[in-house]
Amino acid sequence: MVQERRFSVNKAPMIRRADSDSNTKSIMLHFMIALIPIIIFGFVKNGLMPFINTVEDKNFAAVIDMLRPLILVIVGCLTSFLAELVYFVLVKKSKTPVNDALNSYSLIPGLLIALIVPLYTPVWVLILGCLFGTVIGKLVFGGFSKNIFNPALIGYLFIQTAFSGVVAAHGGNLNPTEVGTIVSGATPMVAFKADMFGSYDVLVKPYGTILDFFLGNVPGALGETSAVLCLVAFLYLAIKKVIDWKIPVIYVGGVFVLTYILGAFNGHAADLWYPALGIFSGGLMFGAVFMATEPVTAPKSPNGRILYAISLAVLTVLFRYKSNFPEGVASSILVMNMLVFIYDNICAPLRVEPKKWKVALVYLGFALVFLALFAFVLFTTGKFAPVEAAMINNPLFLGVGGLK
Amino acid sequence: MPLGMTKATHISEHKGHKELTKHKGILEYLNPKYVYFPANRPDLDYEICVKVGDEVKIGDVLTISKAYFPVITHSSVSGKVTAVDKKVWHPSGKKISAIEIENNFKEEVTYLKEQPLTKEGIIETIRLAGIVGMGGAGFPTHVKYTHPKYQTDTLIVNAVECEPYLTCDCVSIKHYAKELIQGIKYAMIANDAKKAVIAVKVCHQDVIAILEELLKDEENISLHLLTDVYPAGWEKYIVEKVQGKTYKSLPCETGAVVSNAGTLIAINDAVSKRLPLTKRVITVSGDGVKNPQNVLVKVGTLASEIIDKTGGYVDDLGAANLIAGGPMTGNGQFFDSFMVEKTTTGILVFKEIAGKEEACLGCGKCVDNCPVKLSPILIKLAYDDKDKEKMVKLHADMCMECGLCSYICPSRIELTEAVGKAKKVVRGK
Ligand code: SF4
Ligand code: SF4
Repeated sequence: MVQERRFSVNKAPMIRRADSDSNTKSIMLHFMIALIPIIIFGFVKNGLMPFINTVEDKNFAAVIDMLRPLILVIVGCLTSFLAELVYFVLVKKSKTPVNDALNSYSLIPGLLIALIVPLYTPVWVLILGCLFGTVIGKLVFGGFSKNIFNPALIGYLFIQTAFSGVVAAHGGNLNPTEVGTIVSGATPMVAFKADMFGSYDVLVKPYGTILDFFLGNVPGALGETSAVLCLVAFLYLAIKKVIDWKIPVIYVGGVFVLTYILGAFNGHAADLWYPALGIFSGGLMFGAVFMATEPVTAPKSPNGRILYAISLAVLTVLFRYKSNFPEGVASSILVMNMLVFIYDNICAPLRVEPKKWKVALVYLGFALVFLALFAFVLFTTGKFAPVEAAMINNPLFLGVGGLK
Repeated sequence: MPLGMTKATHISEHKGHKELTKHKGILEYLNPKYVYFPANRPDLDYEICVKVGDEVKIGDVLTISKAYFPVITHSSVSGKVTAVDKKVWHPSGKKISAIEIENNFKEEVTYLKEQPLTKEGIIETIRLAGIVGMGGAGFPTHVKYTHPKYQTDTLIVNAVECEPYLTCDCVSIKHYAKELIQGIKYAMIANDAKKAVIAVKVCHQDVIAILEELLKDEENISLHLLTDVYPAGWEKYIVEKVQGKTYKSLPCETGAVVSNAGTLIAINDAVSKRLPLTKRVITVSGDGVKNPQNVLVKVGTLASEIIDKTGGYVDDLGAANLIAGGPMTGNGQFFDSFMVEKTTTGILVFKEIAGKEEACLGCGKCVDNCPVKLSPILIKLAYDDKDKEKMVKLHADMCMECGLCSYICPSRIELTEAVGKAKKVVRGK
């Protein structure tokens, strides 16, 4: 008889994809790789080129200024990483804190914050922002995978609300070259806010052509200006299956369509540049590819993710045209983060719901809410603004006559 | 994809592993010294028809299961019953009491009684031959072929074998293609089926070529090619692909009955040669064995002997996993001395990878890929919260434990286990 041999028994199934490829480490790696071209572009456009072309006195301060984009990125990553390291040592009492901190995607919030804050954000403000994002946005929830909000956006919002004055005083978004050429001194989003249905000469001309917007040759934060690089990153991440391609496609597509409709009602019916400007500016592409897809804070169910992406598009347009925030991307993603739980609860059972009318009813409900929100934006903006005034002043409608 | 249909996923990173055994022949190991058959299982009782000291021939009835649908088990060797309550490992992973038969190597056979070649006659032969679904599920075939409420017109032959590493069906078809076709014809008579469709994966080009050659002048038997996805061998998936519609509980609702290719070869043996089911082809594979190979063995042989016959374990085998069945749905074994059952499709040995569970990334891949469209991670969270109402709402009871969610999860979370437990909670009402 053959000798008996003992084996260890693991849980079924005995083979796992995580053991060959597509595990958490490779996902993080792909994510970082996708960001590299964007970081390089930000450095060349905002640091290197102005240094070569514009800055005359090439002294030490100017060199530091040239390296500024890289400094922001490195400081951002380090701050978030150290914050988590401390957390793992003190709170979790981990024996392998460095490993744990690396495994919990700690570099990413800081990196993303550095790429979306204005170029002349003082380093100490950035550090505060990254700390705030990592601690409040992630660690107080219990660390990676338990957070509700996108940590990077929490940090970004913090800087926006608490330090916008400081940032503006330090030079805001314009790099040395842009300071010289852009007369108004405003970023495209500010120009848009001032005249939402303005002509090509007002909205695009001061910054070049729509192609400059596509390539990213316009003022703005390090990461958010180049639509084409976001597109490349999107393709890479989608092919590597790191992100769900449907979220960015539906989100960006949705904003394009809604912006076109709004424009069409306000004298831009024949202008494709108008919706194109809408999707190439305000960090939409960057937000759609790197933030809206952030897995922890997006729905888990595929149908939920589709509704989530449509909601983002509607909300972004709503915030852009109806609120004081200039871009609308960060705020809509944060608002939707809050609702993810509800979306999953509604959508996951629908996938196995045998009664088709029930499924149809829920989707119809969503469609109506989307339509209502968009109709609100449409009929209270631009050409239709008088309607809004009439409605608000009409006691029959809202009964708040005299508010305006 | 139409509403309500199931789905499947490429698990291509393990595609190549079929190549380990696919192009090799079948090794025969038909003279084990001892064979073992379950006498008692925690989940199943048997009526034992022999006692210690009895002389038996191949084909003599040993036990009849006391299940709702009884199944006959025959001796696979000629020899003497030496024990009826020996403790032996079973492919389910438990130690059970078993009948032990000592082989006298005379190969004497008790043939099945001849039956007429009619619907009833063939079904009776199938019952007497103890034939069960050989793809792993083990449902008695004669019961499957008796479906008074439904009219079936299509026999679907499941030659898909979607589990990675397993090639026993694929290689059997190559070796016994004629027998398979003959078995199909008998099964068609048994089911009043007017046509038969052989579902096979498009990647098995060699199998397809052999079958196409044989089917040239068979009007009623055709091939249906499926893409290389998992779980394409799942009955519901095949029926949906071949019939273009789905069903609730039984394939015959669509007018189809599904049988595994190995089962049909066994039916041919029973009807043409009057031999009961006492042999099967089994895949021995994985990175822990020296010569991965398919082996024709007697039912009841110990796995350790089969592995030894193929050349044994690799020399540097340290900690390892042993699986009875396929890597996705098979059962882990503590010892390699387990008996092979009629339903055992493979013996797989893998060097152990001590992977660690990490925090859920939230990627939603488990939800995206579940063939029955469940939401494994949400069910796991509900199970961890002991929230039964939510588990019911998420239909945890629909899980078929295919293992795909755990397989796919980048964080290596034990989803299949959690959903399986949730399923019990929901069913337990
Ligand atoms: S094991 Fe169950 S829950 Fe997991 S993928 Fe398979 S059917 Fe879905
Ligand atoms: S596949 Fe794993 S990591 Fe992704 S959502 Fe499911 S449980 Fe979480």
